[in-house]
Amino acid sequence: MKCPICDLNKYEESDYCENHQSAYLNLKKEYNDWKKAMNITFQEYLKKIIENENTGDWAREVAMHLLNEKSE
Amino acid sequence: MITEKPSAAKRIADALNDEKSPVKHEEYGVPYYDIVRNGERIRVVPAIGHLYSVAQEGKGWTYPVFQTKWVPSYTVSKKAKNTENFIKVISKLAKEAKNFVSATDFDIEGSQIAYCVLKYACGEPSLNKAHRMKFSTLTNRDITEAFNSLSPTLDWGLIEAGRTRHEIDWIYGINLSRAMILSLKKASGMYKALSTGRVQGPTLAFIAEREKKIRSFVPKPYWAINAVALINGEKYPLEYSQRKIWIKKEAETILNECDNKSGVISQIQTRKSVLRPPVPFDIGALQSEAYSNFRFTPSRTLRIAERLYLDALISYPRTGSQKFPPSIDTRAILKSLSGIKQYSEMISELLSKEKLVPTQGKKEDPAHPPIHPTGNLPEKKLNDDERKIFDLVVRRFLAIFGEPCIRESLKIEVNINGHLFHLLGRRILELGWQKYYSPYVKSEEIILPQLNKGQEIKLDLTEIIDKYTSPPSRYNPKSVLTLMENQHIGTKATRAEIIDTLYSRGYITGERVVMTPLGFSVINLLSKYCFEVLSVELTRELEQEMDEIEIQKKTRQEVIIDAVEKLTPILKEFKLKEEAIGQGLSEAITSLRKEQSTIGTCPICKDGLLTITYSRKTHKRFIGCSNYWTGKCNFSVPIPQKGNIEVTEKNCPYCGFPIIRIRGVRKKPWNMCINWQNCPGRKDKEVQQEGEAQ
Repeated sequence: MKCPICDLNKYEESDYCENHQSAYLNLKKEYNDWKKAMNITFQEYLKKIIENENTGDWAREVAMHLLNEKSE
Repeated sequence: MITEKPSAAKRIADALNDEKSPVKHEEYGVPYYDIVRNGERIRVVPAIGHLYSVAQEGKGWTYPVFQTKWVPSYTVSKKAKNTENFIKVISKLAKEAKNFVSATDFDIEGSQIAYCVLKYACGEPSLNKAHRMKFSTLTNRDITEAFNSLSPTLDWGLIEAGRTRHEIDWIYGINLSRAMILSLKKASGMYKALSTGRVQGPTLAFIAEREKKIRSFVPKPYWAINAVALINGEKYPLEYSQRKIWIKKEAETILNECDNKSGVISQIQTRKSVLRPPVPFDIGALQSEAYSNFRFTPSRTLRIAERLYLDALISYPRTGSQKFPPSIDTRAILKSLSGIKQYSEMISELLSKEKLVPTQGKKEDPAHPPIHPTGNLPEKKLNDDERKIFDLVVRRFLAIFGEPCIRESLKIEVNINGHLFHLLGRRILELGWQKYYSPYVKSEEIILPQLNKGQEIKLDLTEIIDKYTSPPSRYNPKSVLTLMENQHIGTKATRAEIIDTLYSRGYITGERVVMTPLGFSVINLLSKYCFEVLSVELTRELEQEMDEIEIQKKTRQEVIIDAVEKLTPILKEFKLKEEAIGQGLSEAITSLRKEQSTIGTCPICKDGLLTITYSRKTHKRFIGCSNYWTGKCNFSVPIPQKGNIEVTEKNCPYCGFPIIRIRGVRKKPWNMCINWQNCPGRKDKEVQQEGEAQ
């Protein structure tokens, strides 16, 4: 099974490859702090993460993937 | 007498000759000198670095290979072609010699160079008739002293350690690199020069770890409150006592409560701090400082420092020492340096001190003192790079004798409606050592007016600033070098070269180091199939064993057998997984080539992609638009044929065309606007240069 973002093999039981999985876990973890700080929804959070210049490339790619998935 | 380089041969001949001047000879372009010392005839002959290299015993381009032999370097490397004549001349001259002196640099590499020359070019019996000359500078005084106290035998500890290091590095490097190249060829038929090694692997693994953190980074929001105080008509920035406010509502409340209010000074704190002079330069610290101040890569700094050493201007640069032995006459060096106008005033101030005590660092190196000026004045005009490094070394040398720098920090607490802000000031009370080292220390003063407790402070502005946490910073060549030093991997002589190799292999790119897909692929594959190669412990253990050879606690054979035993199972595992490893490498190389050859969108048709293409006719590379094939755009431009080309993602400020960076081997990387033929910026620069020349 391939990672939906980069076509590398999926990492163990996860939905992504090893790199994107680590970014996905970071994204999930940090949402709690964003919610506490700004009281925003997960979707709003993803948009802000995509726009932010400090976001790492893999984290941005996962955020874009999650956002596309939701809108579909 | 064998020296390491031709320039060292000349210096040593000049220093030791009792007669007017040495008689210079030249054969096949190799200079050598005849001198007379205490009535004895001495012939001083140079090598040109390593004349012999490790090579494979037997034939076949495969792995594992553990049988090694030493051969003339020119037989295994085209780059070493010039060594052939040196071997020819030394072999011929050795036949006339009764005794031999190894006068190469006193370290592992120098001892190893002389050993190979003696053993292979002069013949094995010469080893028993050889003495060792030990010096740390190429000044007349040091050379004469070293000659007067020759060691009766060669320095076998260093030689054995040097041989072992070369052989182990060869065994690791060749086997692992061949394993990678052959697996790539097997899986895809593709060829690319790939490599890893005992030090390269762990270094790349550290860079990969940082890169992963950066790429998975998710920033967190926070808010800062800034205010500006208006005192005597001047504006001063105030910092809120809590630098990061993690909840937006809290920040808004604070702002509302402070807006349009004035503050009162509730506390004034002054603190004096003492900044001790810096410690003397070892090679790592010099490379680090040269990168911070001049952006010189570590390998460039080392090359420049070696030139200055060969000109007898500074001491031997490949040193790990930060402690000055009492035998060095620092006062005499200072006196001599006062002949240089720009230092004379500072030096006379230092010389007026009754006692000159240098600061000492923690690191020791029994072979050489810290890097310092010899006191010799430049005989020729130094080029720009040499001048910078020489000045840095001289000023550092002056600084270590300086007094401490005394700084006063002022922290004024301003209470605005119950919220505390800080007004920060800083001034220097005693410049101390910074007076000598001033171009290379950055300390900005913030002078505040006279303020008193209870004084009212008017505000000009209060505002909230949206901020986000930042990812870990990227490595640069200097921080990679520091990392290697801290992890005790590599040696002071090889670290800079290893960083260059990581660039030239295409594993990393950019001054702020970025891992390429190929770099990631190499790391991922190695960590999956033979993670031991990336282990810092493995390389550290080997380093320790090699140090033990130096002090004759272990033998060369023991250490090599141990290294082979460690490597054998790794290579077996590699062979079993060749197909999968090769497949992974092939995918990464294809992706890297694609990424490296794409420069950006074509500024002419705004539609096609500019890519690096090779001409079918001339096989030369150029940049062309992908729309050429559809007939829509015929933009193309010639580019340099040598060096790696990197995409900078910057556009030319004059014409807006993309800027590329060319990184040549052993050359400073340089930027180029791809529209160089028509770029108005180029013409501007030409006019400017012409004006400057006039």
